[in-house]
Amino acid sequence: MADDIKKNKAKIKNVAKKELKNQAVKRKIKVEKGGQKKTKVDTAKENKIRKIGVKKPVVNDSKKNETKKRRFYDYSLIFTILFLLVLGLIMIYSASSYTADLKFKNSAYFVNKQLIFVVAGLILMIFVSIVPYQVWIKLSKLIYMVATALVGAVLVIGRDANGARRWINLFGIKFQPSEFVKVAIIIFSSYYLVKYKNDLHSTDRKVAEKKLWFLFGVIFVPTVLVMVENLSTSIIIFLIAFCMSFLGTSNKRLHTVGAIAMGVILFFSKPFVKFIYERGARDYHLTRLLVWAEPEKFSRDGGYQVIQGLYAIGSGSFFGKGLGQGMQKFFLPESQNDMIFAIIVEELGLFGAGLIMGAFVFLIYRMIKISFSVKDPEGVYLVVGILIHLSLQVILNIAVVTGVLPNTGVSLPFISYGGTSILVLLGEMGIVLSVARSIKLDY
Amino acid sequence: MSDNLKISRDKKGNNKKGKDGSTSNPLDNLQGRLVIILFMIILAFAALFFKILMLQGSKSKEYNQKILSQQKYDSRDIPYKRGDILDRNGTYIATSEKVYNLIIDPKQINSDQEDYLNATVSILSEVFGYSADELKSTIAEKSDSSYVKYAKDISYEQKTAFEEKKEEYNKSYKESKSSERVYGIWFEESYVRRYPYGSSACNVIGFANNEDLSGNSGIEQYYNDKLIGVSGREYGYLNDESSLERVIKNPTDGNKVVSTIDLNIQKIVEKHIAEWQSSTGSNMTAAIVMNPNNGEILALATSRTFDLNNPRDLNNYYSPEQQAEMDDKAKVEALSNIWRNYAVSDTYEPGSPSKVFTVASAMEEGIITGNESYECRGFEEVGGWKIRCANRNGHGVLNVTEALMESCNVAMMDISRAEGSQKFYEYQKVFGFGSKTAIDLPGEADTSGLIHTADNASATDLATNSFGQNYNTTMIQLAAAYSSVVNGGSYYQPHVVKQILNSKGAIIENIEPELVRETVSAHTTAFINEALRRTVAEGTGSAAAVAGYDVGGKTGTAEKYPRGNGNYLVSFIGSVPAQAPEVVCYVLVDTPHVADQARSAYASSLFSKIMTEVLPYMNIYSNVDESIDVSSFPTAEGITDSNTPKQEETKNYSTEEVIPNDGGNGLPGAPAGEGEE
Repeated sequence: MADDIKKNKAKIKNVAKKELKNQAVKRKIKVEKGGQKKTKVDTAKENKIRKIGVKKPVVNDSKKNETKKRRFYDYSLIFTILFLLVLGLIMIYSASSYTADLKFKNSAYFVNKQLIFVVAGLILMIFVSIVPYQVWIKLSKLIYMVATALVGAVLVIGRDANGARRWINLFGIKFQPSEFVKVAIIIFSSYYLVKYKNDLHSTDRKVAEKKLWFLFGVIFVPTVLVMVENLSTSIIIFLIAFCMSFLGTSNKRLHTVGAIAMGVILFFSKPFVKFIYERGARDYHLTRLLVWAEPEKFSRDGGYQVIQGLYAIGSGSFFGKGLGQGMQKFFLPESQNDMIFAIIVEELGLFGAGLIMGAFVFLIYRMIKISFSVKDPEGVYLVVGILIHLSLQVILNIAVVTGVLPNTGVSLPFISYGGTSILVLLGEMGIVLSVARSIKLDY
Repeated sequence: MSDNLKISRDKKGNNKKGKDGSTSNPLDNLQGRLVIILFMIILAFAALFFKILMLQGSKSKEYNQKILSQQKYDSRDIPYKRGDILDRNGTYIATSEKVYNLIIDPKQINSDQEDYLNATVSILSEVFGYSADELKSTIAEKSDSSYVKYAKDISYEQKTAFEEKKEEYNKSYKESKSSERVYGIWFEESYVRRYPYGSSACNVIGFANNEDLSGNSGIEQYYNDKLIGVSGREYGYLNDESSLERVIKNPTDGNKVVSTIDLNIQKIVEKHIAEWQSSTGSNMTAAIVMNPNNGEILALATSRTFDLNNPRDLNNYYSPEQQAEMDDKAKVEALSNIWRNYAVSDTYEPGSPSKVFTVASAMEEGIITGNESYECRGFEEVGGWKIRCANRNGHGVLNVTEALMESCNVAMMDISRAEGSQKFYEYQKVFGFGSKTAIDLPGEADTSGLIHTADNASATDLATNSFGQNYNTTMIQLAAAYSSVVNGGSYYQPHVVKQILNSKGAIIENIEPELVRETVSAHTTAFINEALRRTVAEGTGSAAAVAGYDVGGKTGTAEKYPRGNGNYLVSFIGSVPAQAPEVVCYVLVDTPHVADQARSAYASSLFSKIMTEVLPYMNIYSNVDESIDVSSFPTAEGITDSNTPKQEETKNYSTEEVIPNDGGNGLPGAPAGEGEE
């Protein structure tokens, strides 16, 4: 296994190097692009630089030059994803090998399982990236209905895991339908926002708000169904729709009110939770909120996990204790799942945390570039929706691990252990790549 | 958040103004608003990164301490079981017994004193009989501790009794709606080392400390690496269902060691040594019984015994007053002296048994054929020294066999002179003198500085060495060398362990007899065996005879340093059956507590007594014609004052006389003082 880790380390190095190179090249391009955007001048000089392998999105006149264009495939995005996946596998091994050895007599049990999903996910990603994304838009209503039906079904035939019914067993493979709802909502919102863009951008407030309310109504069904068993995922689903609709309308009142309302809820939730607890309310979700409100007091009810996570983060110095040297994995239950970021900070330190957050920022940056380069509004919404989904997962996960938000069970994209999450995220990346492919490059 | 929204409103406003239609440009609007969302995302990332920085900065030390402290609190070692030691028949001679330590967790009890304290204390005093006040004061004193080892060596039965009682109590508390509970008590596994046969084979087995389970002397020390296992570990944590979960990594138990010792033979040997010690006594009496054909030690006993279950007990050797006077250093010295294995760690001048090697080496080199005859006048002058033979009047003319039978020093000196020091010392090396036997016991003495070499040996040295004086050996060296001479010339490394088994009893290692080298040829062996048979049957070793058996052997009587004090070390080494030995036994008595010490019969008769019991046990049958009148053998040569003519006759040549160097013979120094049978 030590050899494997070494190999993986080497891999990371390679990936990281490549990534740095890419970043460097991209920085150049960014400058050029900034200039070009303003002046809209297409010079031969720039074309030469583009030959290095980096693409030059063209904003207009694509029809005329179509024969000269080649398809754009965003390799830097793929390398960053690979970097995160490999780092994830290493950290899962570090966090889980001891428990896996005890429980399954195989220290690589979790890594092997994850590796299968990673490979399957990468194949899925490549497949999806080849399929024109318009297919998903066309199927958006169907996808939405299937996803909604599945989360409904999970309440009836779902399997218990950690006190909540989240899993469904289909053809011997168990998966979390709530993860699919996220994609379904992104696809459906993209379809909806484009279809009713005139109404949504109407100066008539009533017309715009009517369409918005209808969208919220549609989103509401799966959100509520998911909320029954998985509060955090339903919050993510709602926030994805909320942000996407914010982008897709000129109406400002609804979202302003919504944002203020959310801020107020967040601000008053701690006292509120304490208040209703004192009134005698007891519930599975409430316990988690209580733990968040007063982790020390409720340490026996799950605050333990949060506190142990904080210990892990607090004890990792700038470079951490070293890969595999952490001690908190013995105390953090299932540390390869949602709390893996704590193990990363403990073992790789602030440096490792910065590296991972930097990689995510770079992913977001690449997606922004793609969305700015794509003319087709449906493509833009898809990429932006996925961007929002990814960012929310990262932010919520790290916020939970650092004790800013209650422990809700949000996984860290590409890194946490979990098959469905990996498949869905890599599928989404496939969609991003598919959208990016629609960008025509000229020689 | 509200600031961001303000900005967005302004932007939107601009957009609106820019467009004069009923709608604004959707994509421009999107890009503007996207910037807001991006800004918030980056803000969140930065805030979270800052939060991590804060956590590390402000609480790093505190959290590190907490991690370390809970590491102790929530996990514990699970002890492994030290491997057993078995004798060759599978009898357990050392074993580890599982016992329990009673652990009190005052922290848990104090978490709700009203409910836990009285219930827990009362059950403890009921089941184990501890004083309730003492328990309460312990719990009060160590209220912050989670681990107080209150009692050790609690048996499984006591533990189960407590657990049943606890369940019963808690049930009745529950039924009576009382909130009282027995709480905060648990048991920790531990092992104690037990030696079922007490002091039996104490020198071979050694003992293991109960505290750190490391071996001390004997097999326990030499095979410590095989006997120890790997401790397991138990980790505890609370899962997100808030219940305590424990993961256990099981310990690996140590391997079992099967000794070559046969406990029955060992006990026979010990019985006779003890009898001899209590009737007559000596400074040291020791015996080795071994199989000459593979080097396995069947028994090894000395009169310096100690109780393996209580190895630090000095009462057998020192009075309470003496012990009170001893400081720690003196005690340690006394103990290490008691634990010392005489047969392996102590050296002495072997005396006459080494004549066997003198004859064997000369014959092997063709210096003698066995038919030579020597004339003994009672002494011989070598290098200016007048070295006397055991018989002052001289043995007269004898052949080689007779020289061995009558233990003639003069003949040996003649033989060794004919052989020359080069060859003589070469053979001493071949027989293993001066080098360790590499027996698998700790503390083997290094005799390399206690022998001569061809380079530094004078003619006198050669002469005295030829009959076993003036160089030192250990018992195990002599027994191993003798075995090689009588078994046909194969020198096997002596050993006390024959097998290593894993904790489940499967064989993981067989320790095969290790043939170190060939010493002599079969022809020499046959000659020596016959000479040794006659030594016992007709010569000086008659006291060693065992009724119904052909016994071969050689006596030894060596005056100890300082010469002239009348202190002797007598010995007998013998093999049965004489012509094809299956067992070799070496008996040594150092300074017998009698006025006239110089009688090898003390050792030979002990040999006879031991072998009389051991041989039938080993299924070695008599090959002597039953019709021979066994009663004609002298049984107590040299000890009894019987006046029968036959014994008188015997006495004439078998009484060992040693002429001390009293200076009266006009010869300087030590060597002349050596007398031999």
